[in-house]
Amino acid sequence: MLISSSVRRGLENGREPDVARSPRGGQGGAAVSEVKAIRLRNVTKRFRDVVAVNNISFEVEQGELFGLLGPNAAGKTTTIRMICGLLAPTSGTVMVYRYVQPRDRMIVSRLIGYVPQHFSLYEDLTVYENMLFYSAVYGVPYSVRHRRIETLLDRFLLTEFRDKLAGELSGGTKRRLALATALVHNPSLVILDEPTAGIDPHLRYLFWRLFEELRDEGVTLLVTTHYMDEAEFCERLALMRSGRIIALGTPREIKRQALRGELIEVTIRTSTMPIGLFRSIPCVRDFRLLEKNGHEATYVLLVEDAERDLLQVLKGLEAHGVKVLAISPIHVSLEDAFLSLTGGLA
Amino acid sequence: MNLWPVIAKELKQLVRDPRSLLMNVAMPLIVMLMFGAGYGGRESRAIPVAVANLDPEGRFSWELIDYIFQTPGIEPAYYVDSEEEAVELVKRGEAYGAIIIPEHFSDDIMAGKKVYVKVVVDAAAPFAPMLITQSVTTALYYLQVSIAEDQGTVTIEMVEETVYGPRITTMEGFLPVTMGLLLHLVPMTLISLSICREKERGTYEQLIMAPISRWDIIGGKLAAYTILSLINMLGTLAIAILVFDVRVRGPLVDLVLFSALFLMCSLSMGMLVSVISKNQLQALGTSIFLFIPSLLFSGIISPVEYISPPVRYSITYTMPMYYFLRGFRAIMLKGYTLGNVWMECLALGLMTIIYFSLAIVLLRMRLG
Repeated sequence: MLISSSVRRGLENGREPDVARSPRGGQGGAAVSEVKAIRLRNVTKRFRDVVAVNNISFEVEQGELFGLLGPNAAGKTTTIRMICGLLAPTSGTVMVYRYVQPRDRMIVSRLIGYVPQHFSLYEDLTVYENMLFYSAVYGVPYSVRHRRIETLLDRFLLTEFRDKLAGELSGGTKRRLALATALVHNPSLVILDEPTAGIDPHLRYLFWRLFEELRDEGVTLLVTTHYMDEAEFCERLALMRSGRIIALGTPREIKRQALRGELIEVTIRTSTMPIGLFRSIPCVRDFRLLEKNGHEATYVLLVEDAERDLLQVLKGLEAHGVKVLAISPIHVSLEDAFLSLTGGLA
Repeated sequence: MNLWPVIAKELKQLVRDPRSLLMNVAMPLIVMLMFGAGYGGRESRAIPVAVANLDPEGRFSWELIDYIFQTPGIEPAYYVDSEEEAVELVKRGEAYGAIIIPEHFSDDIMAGKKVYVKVVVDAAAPFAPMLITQSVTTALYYLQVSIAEDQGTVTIEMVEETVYGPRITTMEGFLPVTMGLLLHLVPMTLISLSICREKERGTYEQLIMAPISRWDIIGGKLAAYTILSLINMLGTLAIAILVFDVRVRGPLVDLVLFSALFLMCSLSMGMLVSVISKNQLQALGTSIFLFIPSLLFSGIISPVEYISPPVRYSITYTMPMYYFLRGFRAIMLKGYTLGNVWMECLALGLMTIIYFSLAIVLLRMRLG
């Protein structure tokens, strides 16, 4: 279904739907569904003596909202630029759909909408002129250019700035223009480098809603960010640090991987607590005293699956005659997970 | 007052960008060295002059020739037997001027008749006519003084002629140089900033991400700047012709086409500068640096014959400006057509192709 939507996109652009087509044709339908939007295999990028990206591998499925998460200088931008074909990897393979980057740059660039970290449109052209220029460069048919630009202006609340110079726009408006321009050729893959860095929380939220909307329309999105809270919006993410991927998966998988389980917080009356209590409950892997306040104590328990094991813990405690005052799964943030994975040193 | 922090910071920043430093500190030294290499040295260099001595047996004719060529800067490159041959050499551009001593020159002096020496100069050449006529005038003075000692006072006149119509006005003399400067420095500097500006402002990353080829970028930019500069050039020429009564002796269309070719060459050169420069400051510095040899060695400040052969062959003949000045002067002042200046066209065309190709090849379509 996702493929058919990107095929439709290709057709709408007046180009052949090369995304989903097998180059050798003989592989049949099964091969088509296996095509990843992005596939990196053992990719390393070295700048003189600095290793910016160190032997990373990951894949992004078609139609996925994928996050590349990590602190500054983790290698996110370098990774993205290699995917875009703006940098050649020192070793390893970068593939976008069936094409090898940067060899197939000219084909791939038509499929990608790219929003670099810094505003990179022409400040001395108006909003409309910038979008018109890129629609022409991307070969959007003359007959649909105007209509498409107007639609995007409307969608990104840019209509009132239509004839303003891009250089005169505020930071948030520039971001919206950058995204709108990146969509002018209906790309099936949108790559955004730190789209929300330095903008206000309201607009950040709006942006993520837009990304989800695009995802729902069948667009594949790769977004980098160093805001851990934003990464929760992603379906899957790769955590990068010092040029390596230190965790890969859904946000929940990453948290579990980081803590080797999930957490339950339980407050009990200490007078009712027998020695070796937690060790006697089979699903509790580990525990720690969080705080003690008179006759009450709060513990954090490590279990495999917090929601599943909650009842079992409760039953186990009550079987020992322990008075449970409160019990709940702990929401672990990605930030906690990240700090745990990196030993606190980002 | 505490100047030190700013001084220290500025010096550090200046040293940090080696290429700009080279441009700013080394440029004066390099220019001086180039200048010395081009114009220094003890051996005298001279512009060629043709001599037709039609009084070869006479007492005074050889004496006069000796006096004439005592002036540094001109040399008797050709001795011919008729006025026609001498003038032909000037017309062909092989000599800057011809000195014709008529038959019976010495006898007529002895007879006390009125005597003249004819000087035919190439008025289109910027320095030569004055230099040649002055040397002849001086030589005639010496000869008259020398004759006066034995023979009493004689009068020898100099008759001056030009090969292509009347002598040119100052305005006409300077127009080729002015056009050369306008069609070279301005477009070159302007376009040299174009790609650097994209890199500096970060717009280059978005641009090369698009399905755009190096031909699209270089060709598109060149075309746009050519259109703009052509309008500029036509305006400048129109002012010269309509307001200042400059007379174009050759076909105006040929003059415009030839100038346009030079313009393309300047723009390609500027494009190459832009491709190899890291930022706008470097591009600007490089453009100016490239412009200085054009100013010094292409025939603007002196005849190219005064430039030492090594510099002439390595710099003058590789400068578009040299070929432009030759061709433009020929069309405008001598009434030549494009067909007559095909060599200059070929040189400019070749350079344009070389600069353009280098710009295409060297343009980086990646980052980093």
